[in-house]
Amino acid sequence: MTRSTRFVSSIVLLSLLASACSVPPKRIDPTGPEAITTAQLDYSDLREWSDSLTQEMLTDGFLDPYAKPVIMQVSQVENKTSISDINTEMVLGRIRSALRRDNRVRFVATLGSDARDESVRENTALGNDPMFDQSQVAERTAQGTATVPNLSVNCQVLGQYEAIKGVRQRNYEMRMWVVDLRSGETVWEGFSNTVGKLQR
Amino acid sequence: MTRLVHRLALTFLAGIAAAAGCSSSNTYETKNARPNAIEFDSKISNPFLKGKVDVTSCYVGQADGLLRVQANLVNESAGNALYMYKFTWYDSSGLKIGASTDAWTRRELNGGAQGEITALAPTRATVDWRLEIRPWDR
Repeated sequence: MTRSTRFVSSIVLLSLLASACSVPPKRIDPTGPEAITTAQLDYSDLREWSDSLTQEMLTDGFLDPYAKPVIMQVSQVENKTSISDINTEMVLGRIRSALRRDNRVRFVATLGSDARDESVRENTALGNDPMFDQSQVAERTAQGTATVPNLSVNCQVLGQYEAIKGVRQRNYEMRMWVVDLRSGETVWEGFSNTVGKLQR
Repeated sequence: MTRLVHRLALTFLAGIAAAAGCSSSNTYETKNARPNAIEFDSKISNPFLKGKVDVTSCYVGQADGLLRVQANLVNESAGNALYMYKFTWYDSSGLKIGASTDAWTRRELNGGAQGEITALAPTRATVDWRLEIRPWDR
């Protein structure tokens, strides 16, 4: 065996060994100690936001004067940070789900900017379509029966950045406010926990 | 020579103690603050963590018909403690409620400081709870 053949064989053997030793992926608790922390917003941060905002909303008592279930729509969701893709649906969806429990709140899927279902409006056009059973069309589609919301939910993801001597701090929080659609008054406003990230 | 080594070791330890002391907190509050705590049971499998984050008292209340829990904490050590906590909720039959609610939340507690963690039950059917605390090192 020549010296060059031996060298190539060693390289091939080493790379085979390295690939054999690479750690295979494993399932982890996404918010547990193994979850990674980045300089941006992590899954744990979003879970914490949904929990803290839900707690703020439900302990405030602003829903008390309204007949239950209170009908809500999500009006605007705005990302005002430099992060291009924040999964706001993850936060909002959990808040919606928590509010809906015990029939406190119901969200409409016909208006707003989150979890819309266009099929409600689409189905209202079935009255002109000969393909469909017209007795069912009158009975099952939203012909003057769609619910009008009482309140609208709005949220913004905010960021504030600071840097000094090569150390960067990023602070993120979610601002949420609820507006009474009849009076136009903001009946609740709150902030999530602020998530601060330091990077040297 | 031995004396020099001892002196160096003592200086080093004093330096560490001073550095840790610099980040710890001073606390002031009402005398006999927060009476009417509930009784609770604990199972300690990490005594080192208990030395840094320990539950001193627990309170329960209601908000919009939902069970609300507050655990008061203390960090008896001089250094900061990084920890994570999770609440698990149960109905009157002892069954766990909502897998979607049991996420770990990360917190930091300064040396010598007191803190609170609060949580709101996911449904009105919740009557019982369990709190777990574990270290977080990142």
